[in-house]
Amino acid sequence: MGGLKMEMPANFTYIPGVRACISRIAFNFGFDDRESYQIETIVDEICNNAIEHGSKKKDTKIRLECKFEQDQMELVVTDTGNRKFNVEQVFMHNIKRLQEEISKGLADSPHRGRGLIIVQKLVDKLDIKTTRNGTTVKILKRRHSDAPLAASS
Amino acid sequence: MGRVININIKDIPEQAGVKLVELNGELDTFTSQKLISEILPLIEQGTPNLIADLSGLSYINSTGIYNLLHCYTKAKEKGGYVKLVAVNDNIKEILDMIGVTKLLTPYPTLQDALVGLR
Repeated sequence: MGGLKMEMPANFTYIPGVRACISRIAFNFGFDDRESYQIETIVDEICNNAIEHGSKKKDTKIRLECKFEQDQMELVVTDTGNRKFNVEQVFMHNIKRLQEEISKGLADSPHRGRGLIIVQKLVDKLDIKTTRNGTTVKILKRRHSDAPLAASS
Repeated sequence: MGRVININIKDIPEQAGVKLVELNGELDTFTSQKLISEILPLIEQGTPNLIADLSGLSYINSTGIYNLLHCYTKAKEKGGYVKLVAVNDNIKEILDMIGVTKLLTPYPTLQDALVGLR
């Protein structure tokens, strides 16, 4: 995938800067303030998930690829390996449980796992794949605001 | 706005027994431990009635929401409450999305939040 490519250590300290960077680029590509905020949230939650549940090895890296094209952003976040569980399966379990809890008015559930559920609600397409080499989260976010595209990729 | 969280805890002169908690900055995985370390002792030490002013909060993520809900749960256990005021639209949309505003009703202003208490 063309566009922006970044690699960062699996360390939470890097995330505020990375999410703000991509959100700012999205704004420059014509996403409005609300959509740029949502993109900041999407990047944040996916990276947090990758670090929290990914490999605990010292030199683990998180890779991000981000492409702005026409009226959409495509983001792929990959972490490297050694997971103890399948993220896709855990996500499906979490979303079912949280939806049940919300419908019962139990939004203060002590369970975690809201991050990818928020992501799912903010994106137009979400694809999660876990293999023995790691997990890849791929999202598509369409631009709905009327602002013109600032630049072509 | 710095990419940190500043927490100011104040008395509300016209409402004894309620503390105003001003959150300024970003409440995320990196900063939300500060919320827990400053607010939970307040609740445990006998002030479970809190109004959180979010007018200076520019960002919140799921970890920040989790910790905010944790404060709400602890306050509720002590017979108190947590109310939110001046939540910006971007943050409110995320809170609405996962049902948080059903528990933590957002009020436009501090005065609005105080009305129901008098």
